[in-house]
Amino acid sequence: MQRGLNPFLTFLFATLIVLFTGGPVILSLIGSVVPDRILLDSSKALFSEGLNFETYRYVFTGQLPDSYLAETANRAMISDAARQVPQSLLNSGIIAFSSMVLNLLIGAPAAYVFARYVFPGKKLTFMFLILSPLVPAVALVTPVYIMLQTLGLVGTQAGIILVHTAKALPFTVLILSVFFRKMPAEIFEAAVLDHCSRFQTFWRIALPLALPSIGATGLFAFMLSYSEYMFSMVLSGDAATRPVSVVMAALARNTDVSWSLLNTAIFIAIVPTLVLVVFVWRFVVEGLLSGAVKG
Amino acid sequence: MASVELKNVAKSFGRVEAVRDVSLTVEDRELVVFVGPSGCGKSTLLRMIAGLEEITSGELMIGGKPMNAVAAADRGIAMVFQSYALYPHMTVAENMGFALKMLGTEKAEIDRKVAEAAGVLQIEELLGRKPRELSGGQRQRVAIGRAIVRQPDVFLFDEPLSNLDAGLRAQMRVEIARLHERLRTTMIYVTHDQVEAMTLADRIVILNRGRIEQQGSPLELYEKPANRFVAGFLGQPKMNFIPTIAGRSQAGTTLAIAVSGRTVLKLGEGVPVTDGSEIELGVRPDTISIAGPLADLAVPGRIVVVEHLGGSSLLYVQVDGLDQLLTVEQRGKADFAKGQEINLLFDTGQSHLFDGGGSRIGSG
Repeated sequence: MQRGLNPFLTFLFATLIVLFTGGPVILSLIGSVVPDRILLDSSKALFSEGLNFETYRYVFTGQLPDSYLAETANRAMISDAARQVPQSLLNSGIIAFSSMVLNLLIGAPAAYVFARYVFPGKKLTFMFLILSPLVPAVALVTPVYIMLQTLGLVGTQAGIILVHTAKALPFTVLILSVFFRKMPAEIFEAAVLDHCSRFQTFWRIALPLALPSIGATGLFAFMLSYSEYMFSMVLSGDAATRPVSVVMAALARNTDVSWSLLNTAIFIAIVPTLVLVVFVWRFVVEGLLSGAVKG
Repeated sequence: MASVELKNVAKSFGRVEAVRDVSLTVEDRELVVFVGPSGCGKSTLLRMIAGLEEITSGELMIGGKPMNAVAAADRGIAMVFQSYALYPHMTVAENMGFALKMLGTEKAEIDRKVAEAAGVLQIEELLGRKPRELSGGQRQRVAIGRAIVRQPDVFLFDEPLSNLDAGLRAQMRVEIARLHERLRTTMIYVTHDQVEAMTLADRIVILNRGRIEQQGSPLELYEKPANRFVAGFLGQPKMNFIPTIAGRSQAGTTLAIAVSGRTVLKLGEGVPVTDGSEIELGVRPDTISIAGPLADLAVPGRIVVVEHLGGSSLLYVQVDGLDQLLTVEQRGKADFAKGQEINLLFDTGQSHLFDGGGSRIGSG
């Protein structure tokens, strides 16, 4: 067997992956800084008028782009929904962060118990947990809505946080329990001999060792919540509590929408996740690498 | 300081009996080695003493106090694991002081004890490092240091050297012996390596299939193995076993190779064998001498393989009527070649006789 991959093939696949993942991001970035009249006019070069940040100005301040101040301009192209983007980013941040924290608070101990202890009903409950994501979300919308309505949580962020936590929890528990199970049993036995209680063994030994995995699963829970649309749409209330996925959908639903404005909103919505991935991912990779070096 | 007493201790995992009816006393300050082939229950027994494994039946006493129901951490023991089981996210010093920290000991006191243990093991310069920055031998020292810091009544070692290479293993073996000398603490040491057992132990306990086969000082077991299993397990190279038939006549009792009928040994008076009984003759490789062809009872054979070890040579000899090659150890610079015909002579006084059930009848 030849070790390593053919560099040409590696490059080819890397390029394809970048094209499909990074491509849309780049396109939306370009689209956001070029005004509509140039975007839609194939006779003009893309950057013939330089960079234009008017749509950004509109999103954050509400001041209309100059070209739409003209009498003849179609005012409907500048959708009001775009004005909700900054607030919705904050809302999504709060929801996704809370859902991530809840996931780790509940998921990490649960995964630890599944990985290290034997208790009645362990197999059944684990199976239930792992199979639950197989139920199509659409089928759950109505029952979940009714449940949250009884609890008085429809139209609140708390309701969305709960649903997102529940959606990500099976993955958190599965990934973390695999990681906890891989830890050598002797370390935990040593901890028992070193006067650790069950909780202390979890808190002082298992958790610090699992930090890279916890970072990864936390990030996963965050992004799952950040991009979730259906439950967010059904359960969210007025503009003040609406998450970004719902606002983006509303924006895209406007068939007349200004391309430039739409791209601006898309790019603004991507930025927080990009920042998060860059920071958390480095930590996760470092952690995984240091854990891998043993002997 | 404490003795460890086991009374009719047994352990079963479901239907599998890992340890059966073991009774044993480890005296205060004694270094006892549990040795046996893999799966013989030696590690299970150690883990039962440690409290990591529940005792199915029987009684365990440490320092005269019953321990069956006492939590592992409160038994006054410290254990060194085969994989070292150091906490990867803590420094060496944190690893060593962790038990004391969990007990709420003051930091200054922990630091003092860790420094002291590090001094004993000469690992002072490693205290700030993480386990992954250490070599195998250093990790093992830290693991032992972690045990020392706790000042236990009993040290338990679970195959601590089996992950090290041969040279390092020999060195650590000596260090553990010196450590025992210095600390004068009861130690129980589990290994599958009979060399470790022979060199370290005050007393060896040989286990097989969950039972004690024999216990005693290393030399006692080497010279008077209770049965074929013990005889075959201890000693390097291994003892030769030759199936023979006893013959009694007025001239005395003799043993002859079962297949070829060649007489190989004349037994002394009073060896309780009956005429025609099957006896397994056990001969250690270093007790076989090489004789001239005319010597009485000489067994002719042909050398198949020669291994020169420097100070001695191992000859593997094919003898008529035996399925297995006989191993012969010759001291000094012996000049032997493959294919050479030689005559072997067994030493009556250093031969072991085993009956059909494998029990030792006596020496020749």
